Amino acid sequence: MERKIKGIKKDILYFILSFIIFSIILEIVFYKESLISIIRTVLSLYWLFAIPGILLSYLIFDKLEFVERFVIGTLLGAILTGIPAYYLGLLGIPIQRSIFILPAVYIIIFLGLMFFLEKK
Amino acid sequence: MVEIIKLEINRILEILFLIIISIILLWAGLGNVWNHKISHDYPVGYLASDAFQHQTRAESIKDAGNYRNEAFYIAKGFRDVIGYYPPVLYHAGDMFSILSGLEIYDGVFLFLFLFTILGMLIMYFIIKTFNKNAAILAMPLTIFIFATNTSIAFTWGHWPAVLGNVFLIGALWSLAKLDSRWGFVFFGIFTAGVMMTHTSETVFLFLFLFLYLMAKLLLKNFNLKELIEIGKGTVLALVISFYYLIIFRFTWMVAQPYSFSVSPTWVANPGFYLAKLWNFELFNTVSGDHFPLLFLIFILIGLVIAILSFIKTRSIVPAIGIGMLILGFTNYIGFDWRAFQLRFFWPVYLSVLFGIGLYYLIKLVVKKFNILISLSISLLILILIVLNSNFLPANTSMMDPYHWDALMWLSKNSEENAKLYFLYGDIYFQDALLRNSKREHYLVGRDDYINALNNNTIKRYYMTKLPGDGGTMLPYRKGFLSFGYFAKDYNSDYFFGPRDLCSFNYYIFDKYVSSNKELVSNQYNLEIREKMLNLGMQEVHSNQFVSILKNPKPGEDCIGA
Repeated sequence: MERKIKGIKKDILYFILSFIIFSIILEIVFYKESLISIIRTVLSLYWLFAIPGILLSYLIFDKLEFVERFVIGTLLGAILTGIPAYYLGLLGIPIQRSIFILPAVYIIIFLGLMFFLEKK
Repeated sequence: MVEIIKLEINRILEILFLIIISIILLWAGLGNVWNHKISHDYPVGYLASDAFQHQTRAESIKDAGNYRNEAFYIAKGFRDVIGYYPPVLYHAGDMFSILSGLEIYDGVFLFLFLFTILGMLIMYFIIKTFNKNAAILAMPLTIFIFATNTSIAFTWGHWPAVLGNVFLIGALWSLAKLDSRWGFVFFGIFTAGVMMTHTSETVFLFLFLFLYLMAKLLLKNFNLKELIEIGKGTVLALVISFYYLIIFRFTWMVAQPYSFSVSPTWVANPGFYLAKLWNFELFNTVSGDHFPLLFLIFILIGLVIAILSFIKTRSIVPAIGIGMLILGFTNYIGFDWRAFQLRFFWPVYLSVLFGIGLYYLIKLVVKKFNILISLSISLLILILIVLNSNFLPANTSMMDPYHWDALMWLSKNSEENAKLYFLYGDIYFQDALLRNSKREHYLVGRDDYINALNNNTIKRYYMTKLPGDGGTMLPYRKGFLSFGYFAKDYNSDYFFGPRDLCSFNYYIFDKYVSSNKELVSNQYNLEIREKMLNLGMQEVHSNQFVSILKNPKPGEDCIGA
């Protein structure tokens, strides 16, 4: 258990580091863009795709290096939010709300599941 | 201790390499053409109608908040046409654009490039399970997706096919992880992603699975558990996609059913081919429609090694390279241009073979291989490709600030039910861009216009096109499993036929037309405009290139005929 918590702590650090690195990559490529705009772009990517996808990857794959987890999780995140946003739109919830609802729901569900499974 | 330090250094070097690769790929793919800015005043990097098709659909979903129906200005004025395009690209791209504060035309395009590069990195991790050095050496080949004809996947608007291939790579990655207890969940979600992004890629995914499992069966290595996990993932994907697949069944499968068609080339599109053996080129090709010969040699060597390796290890990694090479040739067995859309990703799929081939060749010479050697060679090759390639110049686009200004003016200032008439303009025949007016719009028939111009006559009735997306016959829902089609309900004259020039609310004139050799005068537009102004129309908006007139009395004589 202690080892797992240590691992998660390490991954949180990597996650923050990845945010900084991602921002630097965009800042280098789009050096004429303002830093605020770059950070907002990266924040959006993380909130919408990276966080939901990475959290689900923890539930399914125990042993993945963080970089691989980050890349595959973010890729999966686009589907995790893209498809439900389509269905929620059909049910009357506009896409502008899905932006906040979906990642928040995923965070609650996936973190809840992680704690539940850990306790079990 | 020394071993641990060495491991950590190798890890850091690998991460640094991936960061540098990502920067080079994004710089070459998008940074350059976007002039190193994310926000633009108009769409940049858009070079054909389909790019605007996807941009305007994403824009319309943002406006409506949902994709229940196609916007009327996309669906030729009809308001009940069901949203029939695979929805993931638009929804994920829209959410990203809205939250990041970017215009849809910037946000969706950026989203597409970022996810393509993520797909390339996933391919790296797939190859890494086979051999880390081969994975590193594979990466330079991926840049050909931006340096050859395959770049039209982005600029000409094959966006759903691009994202579909990215998710297909995700599905391939998860195939290698099916031994995990819930591994099928990832495979199922990625497969659903493929189905709901560009459904035809699903066929390639399952064709690959068929070839892969059959090969394993022949090699007496068939694994029933693997098949069961794939089955579980497929069921999950079908459950997720069920609602959309019904729409797909009654739209795309009705309007464009599979028909056996062999086509060695992609008609009206710059296709991508494996090689032109008579062209000996090292790091780039002039035509951009094939791999340089040097790279082809490594790919072919890799192919031989991959076949031997698959026979020996049954690993999925070499199977991906072999399988995607074979599937890229399915245009010869009836898959027509869909195979060429798969070839957009050959630089990524075949990087497996390239990496393996290069690795084993270098290993013949260098006995003590380490990560530093593969990193150095990989970066060197990548730099040589970049230096020898022609990427799109900064700010390349079909759109320009003046036409964009006119379209935006129309979308914000004309009445919602206004009917717009576009006279001849050089860019207007890539007509999906006209949808940015967000109004029902009509476009003068090109041939009729040129004939009238050459006869020096101004007429009341011109052949006129009602532009819009009619690819699935404008479907509308009658019941859950029952659909009608406006394209069948209406006569073809309704969509392209003679129309009274004076019956519209707004007229859009280009002040300069130039690119068409058949146009003997660029004054014709201005002559029509003068007549209309003399008969009471008002110029409501104008800029250096475009003039917009408003018709106060639609239906009455407007040209003195």
